[in-house]
Amino acid sequence: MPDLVITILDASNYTLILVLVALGLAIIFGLMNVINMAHGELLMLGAYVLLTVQQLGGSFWLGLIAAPIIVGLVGLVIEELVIRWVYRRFLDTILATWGLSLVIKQAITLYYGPASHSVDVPLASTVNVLGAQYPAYRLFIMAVSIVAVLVTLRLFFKTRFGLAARGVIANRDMAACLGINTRRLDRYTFAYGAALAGLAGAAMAPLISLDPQMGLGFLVPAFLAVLIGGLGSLMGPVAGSLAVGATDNLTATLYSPVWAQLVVFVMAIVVIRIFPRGLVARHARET
Amino acid sequence: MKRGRAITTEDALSALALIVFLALPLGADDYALGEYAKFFAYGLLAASLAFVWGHCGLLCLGQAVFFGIGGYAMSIVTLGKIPGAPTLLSSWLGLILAVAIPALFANLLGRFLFYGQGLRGAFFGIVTLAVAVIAERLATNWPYLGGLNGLMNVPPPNLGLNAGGHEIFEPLELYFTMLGVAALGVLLLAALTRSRYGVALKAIRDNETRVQFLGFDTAAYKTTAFSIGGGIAGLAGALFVTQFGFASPKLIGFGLSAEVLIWVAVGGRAVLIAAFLGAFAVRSVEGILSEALGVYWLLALGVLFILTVLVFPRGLIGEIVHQIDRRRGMDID
Amino acid sequence: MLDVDTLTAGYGRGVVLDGVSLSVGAGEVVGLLGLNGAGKTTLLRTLMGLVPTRTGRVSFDGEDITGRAPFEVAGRGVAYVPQGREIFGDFTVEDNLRLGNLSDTPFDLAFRHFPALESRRRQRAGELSGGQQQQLAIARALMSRPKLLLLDEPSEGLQPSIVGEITETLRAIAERTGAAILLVEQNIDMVLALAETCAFLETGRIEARHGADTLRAQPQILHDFLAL
Repeated sequence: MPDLVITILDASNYTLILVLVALGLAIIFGLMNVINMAHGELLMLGAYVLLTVQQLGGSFWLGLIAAPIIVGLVGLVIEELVIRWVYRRFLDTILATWGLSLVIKQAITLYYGPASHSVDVPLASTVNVLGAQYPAYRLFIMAVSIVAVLVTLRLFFKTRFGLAARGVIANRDMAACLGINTRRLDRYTFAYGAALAGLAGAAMAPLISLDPQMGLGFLVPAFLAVLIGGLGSLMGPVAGSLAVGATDNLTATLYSPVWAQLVVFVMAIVVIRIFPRGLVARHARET
Repeated sequence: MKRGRAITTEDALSALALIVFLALPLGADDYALGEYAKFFAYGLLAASLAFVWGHCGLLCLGQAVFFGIGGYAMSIVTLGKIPGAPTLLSSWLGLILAVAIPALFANLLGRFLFYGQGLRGAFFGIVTLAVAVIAERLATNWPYLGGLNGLMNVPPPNLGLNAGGHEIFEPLELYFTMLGVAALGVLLLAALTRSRYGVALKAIRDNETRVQFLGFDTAAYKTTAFSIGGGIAGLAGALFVTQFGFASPKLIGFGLSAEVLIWVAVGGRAVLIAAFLGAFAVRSVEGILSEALGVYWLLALGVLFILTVLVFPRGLIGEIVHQIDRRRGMDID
Repeated sequence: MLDVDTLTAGYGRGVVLDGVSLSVGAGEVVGLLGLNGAGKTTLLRTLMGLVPTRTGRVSFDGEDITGRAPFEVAGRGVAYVPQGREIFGDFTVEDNLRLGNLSDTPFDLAFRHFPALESRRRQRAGELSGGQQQQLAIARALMSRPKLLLLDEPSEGLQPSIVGEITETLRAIAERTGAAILLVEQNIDMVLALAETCAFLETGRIEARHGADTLRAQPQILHDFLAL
C-alpha cells in the first residue's frame, strides 16, 4: 500500500508540473496561434533564476517568487522583439521560437557553462501520507501547481481580462473590432504563459539537475499533452497532462524511463489518430 | 518538348556549383577534400529536408533521424552485424537498407500523421521533434547499436558485391564519389519537384483542402514524399558514416536535426541547391568563425537563424535566386 | 462624421476598392447598395482596419483613421456588425454584450432596444435563433455607445417579419442614440425604410448617390443599377 501511494504521488507530482507547462503552451497557442518552441527554455530559465538567486545569497522562497516574474518579463521582451513580427506567418512562428530556444540555451551555456548544477531542497522533511513517508517538498510543489492552475482558471473565467482573452481566442478579428487591444493582450498572455513555465522550472529545480538542455525534456511531453488533450478548452491540457503523466510514470516504474518516453509517444500518436481534435474536443481549430 | 525554354536560375546555379565542386580539388589538400566530402553528405541531407519542407510543406524537425537510421543501417551491414548473417558485408546491401529502412519508417509515420484528419503543419513538426528526441535516447540505450559510443570502425565503401572489392578511401576518390552521389540525389529530387507529381505536392503545400476537393488523396502524396525525403536522407547518412568511420546517437538526434534546419533556413528552403549550398556555407564558415568567435559562434548562429526567419524567409541564397528570377521575369511564387 | 477619400484596397495582388469616396454625416443613415462581389463588405472591413488600405484617406470625427488597427478604429466610436453576425457562440448573451464594452457595459441600453435578449441573458448565444443572434450582434455593437454603426447585411437569412422588427429597432436606435449608420443591404425595402441617401458601389467605386425620396419616386434607378 505505501508503495502504491508513493507511485501515485510521484505521478501526480510530475503531472501537475506538466500541467503548468502545457497550460502555458495552450494559452499561448490558443490566443496567439503561436507554437512556442522556446517554452522548455523558459522553464529552464526559471530554474536558473532560482539558482542565481540562491548563489547571490537569497532564499529559496525569494527565488521561487522571482522566477515567474523574471521569466514573465523575458516573455514580454521576446514577444515584443520577435514573436509579434511573425505571428501572422503561422509556420514561421515555430521557426522563430525554435531559434529563440537555441539562443536562450546558448546564452545560459555561455554564462553558466554546459555542466549541470543543483539546487538544495528547501524542505528536507518527510510527511506521512496514508502510511507512506513522502517528501514534504514534493507535496509543496503539488500545492503550488494546483494553486497556479486555480489562479489561471480564475483569471480566465472570472475577470474582464480573461473574458477579453477568451474572446480573442474564439474570434480574434471580431474581438479586435469590439475594441479589445489585441496587441496588449498578446504581450500579456505570452508573458503569463512564460511565467507559468518559469514557475514550473523553479519549483522543479531542487528535484532535478539543472543543465541548459533540460528544457527539451519538458517541452516534448507538454506538447504531446496539449495534442492529446486538445485545444478547444483550458481543460484540454489538463486532461492531456494526466494522460501523459500517468502513462509515463506507470511505464517508467514497470519498465524503464527510456521505454516510458517511447510508450508516451506511441500513445500520443495513436490518440491523435483517433481523436484528431484531442480528447476534450470543443471547437475545432484549423491549423 | 522543352525546346525554347530558358534555363531556370536554380539550374544555372546548380550547374555553376557543380563546376566549382569539380574544380575544387585543384587547390585543396587531403584534409580539405575529406571535409568537403563530408559536407556533400550534409548537403544532401539538407536537400532532402528542403524537398520535404520547402517543396512539400512538411516541417520536419527531426530529419536527422533518417540520416542516422541510414548511417546505422550501413554500419550494421558493413560491420557484419546482421543477426544470423555475419558474413554479409556488402556496401551495396548497406546502401539499399540505408535508403529502404528510413523510407519505410517515414512511411509508417506518415500513415499515422497524415491520415484521418491529419496533423497539419506545426503539430507534425512537434511530433517529428519528439521522434528525434526518442530516437536519440533509444540509440544511446541500445547495446546492439553500440550505446552512447555508437558503432565504430565502420569500413569505407567497398565496390565489391560482398566486400572484397575496391575500397574507396583515398581522399580524391572519396571526394568524387560523394560529389557524384550527392549530385545524383539532388538531381533526382529536382526532377521530382518538376514532375507532375512535384507540382501536385506543391499545390498540396499551398492549399491542401483545395487539392483534396479535386479528388487527390493528399495523405498518400504527403506520405510518399516524406518517405522519399527519408530515403535520400538515409543515403546521405550511409555515405557519411563510411567516411567518418562510425555511427553514433549524435547523428540521429535533436542536435543534428536542429543544424540541418538551420542550414536549410539560412540557405533557402524552397530551392534545393540553395539548401545544399546553405549546408556547405554554414559548415565552412563554422570552421573559421568558431575559432574567431569561440563560444559565441552558436549564439551568433541562432541569432542569424532568427533573422533569416524574420527578414529572409526564403533563405539568404534563396532570396538571391528569387531576386534574379524577378528580374528575369521568371518568378512564379 | 465619416469621410472616405479615394480609398483603394484589395486582397493579395487584386484590387477590390478602386478609389472609393463616400461620406456619412453625423446622425445620418446611408445605405450602400451594389451587386454581389462589388466590394461592399470589403469597404466595411477596410474602414474597420481588417483589410489594409493601399491608397486614400479615411477620417472619422475629424481624425485620420487610415490604416489604423481595428481596436483603434473601434475605440474612436465605430462599431461593426459583420455579415454572419460573428457572435461568440460559446459565451452567454451577457458575456457577448460585455465584450462589446469591457470597461462599462450599459446593459439597460441593450435591453431597452432588444427586450427579448433580457430574458435570455444567461443563455448560450449559440442556442439563439438567427433573428435573436442578429439582435445580439447589434446590441453588442451598441454597448460601446458608437457614433457610427457599420452594418453588413443584417437581414441575411432572416424571415421577413423579423427583418421588419429589426428595421424598426434600427430606426429607433438611429433616432434615440443619434448614431450615424452605414448600412450595406440587399433588402431594398429595408434600406429605403431607414436610409436618407443611398450610395451605389460598382466596379470598385461609388458610381452614384441618390436620396431615398428620389429612389422611391423613381424605382427604375434601382432597377437599372441592380439589374432587377
